[in-house]
Amino acid sequence: MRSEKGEEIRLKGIAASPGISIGHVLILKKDGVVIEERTIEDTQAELLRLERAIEKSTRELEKIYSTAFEKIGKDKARIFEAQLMMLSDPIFVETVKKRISSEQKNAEYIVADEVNKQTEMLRKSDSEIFKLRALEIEDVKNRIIRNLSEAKLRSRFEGNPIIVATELSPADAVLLSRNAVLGYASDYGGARSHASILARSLGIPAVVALRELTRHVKDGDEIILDGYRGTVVVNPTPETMEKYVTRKNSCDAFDSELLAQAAEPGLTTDGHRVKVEANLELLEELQLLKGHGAEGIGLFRTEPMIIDLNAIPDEDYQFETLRQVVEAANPNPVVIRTFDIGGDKLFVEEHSEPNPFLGWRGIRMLLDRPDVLKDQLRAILRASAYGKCKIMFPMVATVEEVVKARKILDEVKYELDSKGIKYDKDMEVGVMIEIPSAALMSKEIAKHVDFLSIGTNDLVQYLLAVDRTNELVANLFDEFHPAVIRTIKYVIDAGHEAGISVAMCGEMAGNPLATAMLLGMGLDEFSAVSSVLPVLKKIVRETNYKSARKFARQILKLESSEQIRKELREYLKQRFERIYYTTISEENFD
Amino acid sequence: MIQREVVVKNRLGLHTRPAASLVKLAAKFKSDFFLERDGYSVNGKSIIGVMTLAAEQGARLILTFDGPDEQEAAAAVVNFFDRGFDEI
Repeated sequence: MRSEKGEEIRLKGIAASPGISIGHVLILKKDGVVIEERTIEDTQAELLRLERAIEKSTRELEKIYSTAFEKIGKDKARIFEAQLMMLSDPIFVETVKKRISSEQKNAEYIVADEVNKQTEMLRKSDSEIFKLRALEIEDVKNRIIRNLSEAKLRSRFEGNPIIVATELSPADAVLLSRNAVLGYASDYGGARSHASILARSLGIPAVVALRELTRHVKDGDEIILDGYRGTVVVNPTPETMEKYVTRKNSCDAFDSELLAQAAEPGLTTDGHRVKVEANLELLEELQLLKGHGAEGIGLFRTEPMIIDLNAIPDEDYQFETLRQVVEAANPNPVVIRTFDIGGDKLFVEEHSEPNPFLGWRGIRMLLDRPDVLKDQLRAILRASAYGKCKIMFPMVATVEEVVKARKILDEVKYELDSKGIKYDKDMEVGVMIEIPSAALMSKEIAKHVDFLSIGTNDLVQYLLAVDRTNELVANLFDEFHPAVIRTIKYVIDAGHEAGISVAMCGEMAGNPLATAMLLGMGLDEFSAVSSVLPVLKKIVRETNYKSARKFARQILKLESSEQIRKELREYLKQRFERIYYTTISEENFD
Repeated sequence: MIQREVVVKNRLGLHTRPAASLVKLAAKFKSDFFLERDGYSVNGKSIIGVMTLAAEQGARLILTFDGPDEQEAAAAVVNFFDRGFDEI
């Protein structure tokens, strides 16, 4: 399949999962189906194949439509009516047929290509609504393609390829991880998309948001993927290759050195103890926690259950999921966060808000929907009998909300007692501090809870009034803004004053630049994506707490994020040069 | 050929449901029907096309009708836009 070697191409994307891979490209199209581009000879037969696949898809969708009509009502079933219309869209079907005849290519390829062309604008849009709409259209495409190539579902393949796709779904990532995949690279996606989280937890290097990668590669091309820096090189020259082989060897060696030490406790050179824990949202990640040295799960996100089911899961479903997590982590604790989701995610059809980040989400929604909250609290309490759980409420803004939530928790406990259902009576209750009002009230809030956990992503957004998904202001989203640093310090002190521990589970907790500073500010628990835990452990274990405190005091005096970043970089570069060069620095390479 | 400029009036914009209704309405006429926004043009008889037109509330669109019943088609479609797709 490989033709003559093309020119070296370098593309810059977002580093989604660390590590360096060198290998050959395998292009993957949606749904785990690898769509091959074939030249066909019998055009009539190919057109017939297309018609049959469309007929079959229509029958499938009609069935779904009538079931949906009965079960969820006419309004919600409309979406499938629209999908049925797409299958008989005269312009689309005619275009595909014409292209099959004129280009002499197989139907799968033309259908995929035509739909991708149509949805490109939507996929590139920043609007979640338009992205969802692209998915609706792609759903139809996938249905046709599946019916075209029934027996050709390719989730297994030979060799150890680097998978290249327009976008990777979590299902793809899971399916593909059963093979020996060396890495993932995709045109779209973000560092926090599910497939990226999964790649990190599976330890597979990944780079996403490369925009036009799929246009530049073909199956079998040689490719280098740098998951530390978010770079991809296609058809590298021998010089580039040599450089990367050296870099890969040194990074891999350092990586195994870090992993070998990962199981050690988070203890500074002068005996100060902090906990290094993992953020988790998928059960597939559980197996990796031990290897990365997680001393518990500092944040277990429950929203994926809603997203998977496209509905609020009932108590038993939640309990089963949570029990697995709690058992796997035992004897280490699991902090279970109640649904942190906006009304837009829960009631897609009838609910939409102009400004969901400032809207009905997190604890606000849960307190308005005690039925949902109680189901979840019962599930968490029941799971607490199988190990050690803590419960955490997101998006708290006032003391009253905490009091109300705790009151409902007491009601649920009383109910379980009367039924004789077992649970951990000493289960700790905490809140996320991510709204500025809660940060300012953290002394008062701390009196009502057993721990605080700082969520930096939302805190930064609300404190600085910056929507990071808005390109016009995204550069103002700055987690090292002195106001952010000082707020964090204030919350840590407030927690300690009340005699409770303070954790951080936002992105900053996993940023090696911030580790020594946070340690010096007195943070008790760091919770981050599991792949970065060995790095955090190393920094903690090789830092003197007293000097970190001094360092933090200096940082707190600075007036600009530029100064703060400079100091943090200098600090890391001087003391942890290899960490600095593998994860932070863009210098001296490329 | 006739052209008309319309504004999307309803809060949710030209989303899936009105897109389906619009295409059904356009199919009743023989004339060709195109919608254009910021230089991006789609065939109004293609549901996939109309869905890819990211037209939110307030979006201005140029509609083009061309064929034997273009007057009737234009009147019906513009009326549908004016009614805010029956969602206001």
